[in-house]
Amino acid sequence: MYLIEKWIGRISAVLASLVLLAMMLQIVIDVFMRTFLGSGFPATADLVSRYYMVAISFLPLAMTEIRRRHIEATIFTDNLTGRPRQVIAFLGFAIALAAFLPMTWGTAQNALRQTDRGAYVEVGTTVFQTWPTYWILPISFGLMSLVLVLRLIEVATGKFELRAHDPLDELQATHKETN
Amino acid sequence: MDPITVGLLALVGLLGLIALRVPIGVSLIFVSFLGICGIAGLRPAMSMLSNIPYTSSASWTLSSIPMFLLMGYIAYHSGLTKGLFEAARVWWSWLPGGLAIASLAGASGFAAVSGSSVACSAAIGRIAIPEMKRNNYDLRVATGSVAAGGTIGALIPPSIILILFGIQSNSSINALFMGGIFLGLASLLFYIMAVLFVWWRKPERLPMVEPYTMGDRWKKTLEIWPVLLLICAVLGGLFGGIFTATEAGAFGAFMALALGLLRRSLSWADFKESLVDTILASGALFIIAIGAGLFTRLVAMSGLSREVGMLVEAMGLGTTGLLLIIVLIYIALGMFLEPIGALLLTLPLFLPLTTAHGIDTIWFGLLVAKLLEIGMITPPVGLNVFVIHSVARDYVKLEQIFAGILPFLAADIALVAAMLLTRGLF
Repeated sequence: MYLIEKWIGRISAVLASLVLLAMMLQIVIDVFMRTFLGSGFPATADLVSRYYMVAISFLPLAMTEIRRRHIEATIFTDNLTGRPRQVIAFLGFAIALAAFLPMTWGTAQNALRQTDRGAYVEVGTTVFQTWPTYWILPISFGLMSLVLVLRLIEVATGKFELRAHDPLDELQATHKETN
Repeated sequence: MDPITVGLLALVGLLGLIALRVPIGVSLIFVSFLGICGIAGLRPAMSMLSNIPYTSSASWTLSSIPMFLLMGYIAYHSGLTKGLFEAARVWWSWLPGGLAIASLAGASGFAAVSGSSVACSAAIGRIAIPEMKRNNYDLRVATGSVAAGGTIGALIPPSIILILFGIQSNSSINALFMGGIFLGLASLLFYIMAVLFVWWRKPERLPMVEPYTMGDRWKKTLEIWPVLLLICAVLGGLFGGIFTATEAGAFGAFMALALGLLRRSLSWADFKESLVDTILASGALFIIAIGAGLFTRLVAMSGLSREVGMLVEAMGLGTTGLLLIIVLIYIALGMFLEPIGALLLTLPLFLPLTTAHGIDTIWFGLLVAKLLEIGMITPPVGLNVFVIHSVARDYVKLEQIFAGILPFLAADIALVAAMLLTRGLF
């Protein structure tokens, strides 16, 4: 189980990092080309919003859950211990699953439709296929659902416990002293 | 059920789920889906669930957020921001409470590189608190000043909160950023007055330290040239009309990377960590943004905002009364929720109201950002206070930091009052 989590985390981290760097480089190149050559890198705005942003928004979802970094208000449940605490954990993951399963289904249907249509945008004279980007959503939501199912099993078998949140974690992904 | 009832139930359900520790993004999506089902049926609800995530994420303006996050994290992990407190200290230490003032000024400098208030507090706190402790500063004032200084981080651009507000309200990011600089500097000024006030009442809490010579000052300032260059290039390009916000962020991230490599201060591990931090922060943030997109539809469909508007009219509050209620709601929410969640949760309800009352959107955005930042230092959930506690756990208690916040909280309240009194003048 932990192995699955580890690999989902790693693969999404590598993919999202590549997208992040590509996005940064393309925008920088676009600015330079526009300033010095008069015209920018073709279709930067469309590529950024339809490819890079869709990927950056959804690919990290499962990984963010694996690292327990989704934003929650913990104050009202912090004093619970034992069974009530486990119930709260189970309930949270179950509701999340109830939200992500229909989203996986719905966005997959949508992706199929866009693929059939061969969705594209026209930028000047070039045509950009946009249908592949629609698949990023069902894949990301599906991975998130998978992680949530794993979490439910972990809670049910007593392998997972809610912890209080340390805001410093957010600045040290791997617990290394910086600064 | 009539739509209004569904809308109200959804609102109650939403707050209930959040209190039960369901992630804020998930709560928004879940409640909106059920609510839209209840009003319009399953098919329209499924159709929104399948379409809105794509359309709300495929946005050029939104893309400035990961770029600014990346720039902030690279600058932080490569130690680019390290010298800021030192440089502020050599200039300000001659003042009473000089080290506390220097940590506030250092935080404002950090704010111009990073849009996060927690990162700002932690980075300055790690360096400034031990220094203040060594100089026999009262630990309450020492930690309080750093926690409060961090809140400037979300006001001075780049500011994630202001970008999200701009997107939700369809207003100009540049105008919001321009106002953010002004409000950030005003906050700095008010906080400095709070430090001076503490020194005036209890001078023994803030012992004087040796002033530095002019030579030292210029030397320390020259040492932080990379970060000054980065700030000038990004903000200059943004306000000079050369860059859009996204381009400023991408250029800033690229420049921070280049500076880190040239100065050999960015290791492979630092680089990976900056990327992972950016990705995790994006993952946590965008799901809330998408949930908020769905919730906005539900609020519109249920007629909830119209109904609340009519209620406000019927109560005869007038614009000032409305604003006072909004201020109180944000302060109350800020006590329990982190700012981005609280912001995206409330805007669908509040924006139509404030627009109908002719309140300037940019001004309102700045007010909301300031109020949400006050929530970062108020108990019981004050993220900046928690992060300072994590940094200085060995010698400061959480209660001491909350006590140290009080003069700065008073300064914040004074600033909000000043904003309300001068509304329409700027």
